[in-house]
Parts: sequence; structure tokens; C-alpha cells
Amino acid sequence: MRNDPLPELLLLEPYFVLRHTVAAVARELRIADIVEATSLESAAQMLAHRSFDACLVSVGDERQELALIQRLRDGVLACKPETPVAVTAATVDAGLVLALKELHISRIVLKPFKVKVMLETLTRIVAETPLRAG
Amino acid sequence: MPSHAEMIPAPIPANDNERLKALYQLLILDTPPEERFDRIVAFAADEFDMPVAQISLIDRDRQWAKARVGVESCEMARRDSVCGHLLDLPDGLVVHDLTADERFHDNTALVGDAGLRFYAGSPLVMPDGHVMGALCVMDRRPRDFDATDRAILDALRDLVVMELAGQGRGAHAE
Repeated sequence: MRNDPLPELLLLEPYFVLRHTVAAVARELRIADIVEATSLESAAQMLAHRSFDACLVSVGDERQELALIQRLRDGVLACKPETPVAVTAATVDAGLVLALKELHISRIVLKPFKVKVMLETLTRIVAETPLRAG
Repeated sequence: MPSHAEMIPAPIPANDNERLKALYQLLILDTPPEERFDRIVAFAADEFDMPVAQISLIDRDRQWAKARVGVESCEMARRDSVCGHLLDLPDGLVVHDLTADERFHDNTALVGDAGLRFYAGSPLVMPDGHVMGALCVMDRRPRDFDATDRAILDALRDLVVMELAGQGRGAHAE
């Protein structure tokens, strides 16, 4: 079992059961230390004041979350602009794919998905963080 | 397969009277279904692709389900209950094939009538240490259940315990 500090990930996911389960299992299996954000507003507040090794963002139908990711990429938040970001979404169209590419999104996970799939995604984006790579 | 020995009923823990007293204080037995529990059970069934999932509470002579997916009856005899075995198994229980396990191989209520073969359960350990029952998932075919699956089931179990203890958030969609 690893004893070194776990990467810190921000998880923006509105559905409580899913969010809690992913966060608890990621900690239990020492994949990452997950900070849970219940809404876009709370995620924006957290990102404004602290850095994360990676982010996993649920993109809603209105796609307002993309503006927050853009701010992260613009370097106006506490995170490094190159922070790995993965997104989950219920629907994906060509416009969203293009927008996500421009935002250098690491991975897209389509809803509905299993917690196990989310954990695999977390494991992969953790591997992209400088903490793990170093 | 242990074909001749009779099934082993769920053992009665030494502290069962105190445990039952704590269970009755929850005032939850025989109450109507509640979405906060139904959501968790539905999530578990979906996550593991299991046809059966339930929150089982172990009463003096019966197992009663507060929430269930894939089973018609909400109660069964305690002696037939697999979840009843978890009262003394704090780490939970995974039985890959009930028909190959000496405790359950001829349990007619599960293996016979319901045709169940696989069981995974996580005990509902309350903050005071009493075990009220289990969150479990079952299938009609033998299954594997790895460490990640167990961790996911335990995390869902923690949500059930929080709700039972009055510390939950309603398991709602927010």
C-alpha cells in the first residue's frame, strides 16, 4: 500500500450517491483524495482558492461548466493551467467534442456509467499528474 | 459440493437482545418504502448488474427488507437469512456460489425457490457497534466480486448506515 500523499482531485458531481461512493472508494483504495463539489458554484469557489492535481467535472445540459474549465486553462484560478481535467456528460455532440478538445480535456465518460468506470478514469488521470509521474 | 450436511442457520449473536433493542429504537421495522433507501438499493443493483439487491434488517425471528429490488416478499425466516450471518462478520461476506457453500447449499428459500447462486453483503454496523442487518446484492449465477466491488458495496452500505443513524442527506439527487 502506498504511504506517500495521495493526489488531490476535485470532483464536481451533483448526484450525491455517485459522488459519495466514488470519493469514498477512491480514498479507500488510495487512488486519490477526492474533494467533493456539489455544484458549479462550489467548484468555482474551491478552484479559486486551492490547487488540485486533477479535476473530474460533470458537464450538464447547459454546459456552464465549460466556462469554469476555460478559466482554469486561462490560469486565473489557483490550479495550474495544465491541470488534467476529465469530464462526464449525459450527451455528447460534435459541438461539445470540439469544445472539449479546445479545452485539452483528458477523457470523456458518458453517463450513465459504473462507479468502477469512474475509478478507472480517476486512476488514469492520476497517472497524468506530476505527483504520480515524478 | 457439500451435498449431505444440512444448511447452517444464521447464528444468534450473544448480544442479540441488546442488538434488537437498538433495532427497535430505530422505529423502522414495517415502515413503508422510502426513496432515500430505495435509491441506494437501485444504485447497487445497477452498479453490479445484479437482479436482486436489498437492505435487510434482522429481527428476532425474521429478516425484513426496508428496500428491495428483484424480490417480491419483504420478509423471510431468520434461519434462512444469509444476511443474518453477517451479524458476526464485520468484514462482510461474499459467497460466489451458494450451492457450493455448506451454510447455504440446501437453503430452499434462496437456492431452491428463488434460484439464487451469488451473494455479497456488507453489514450495517451502527455507530454504537450493533449490526442491524446488511446491504446485499444477489445473482442467479455464480459471480466474481473483487476488492473494488467490495469497496463500492461498503461505501453504499455507509450511506445506508448514515440514513439509519439519522445522519444522512436523504440520498437525494441534490
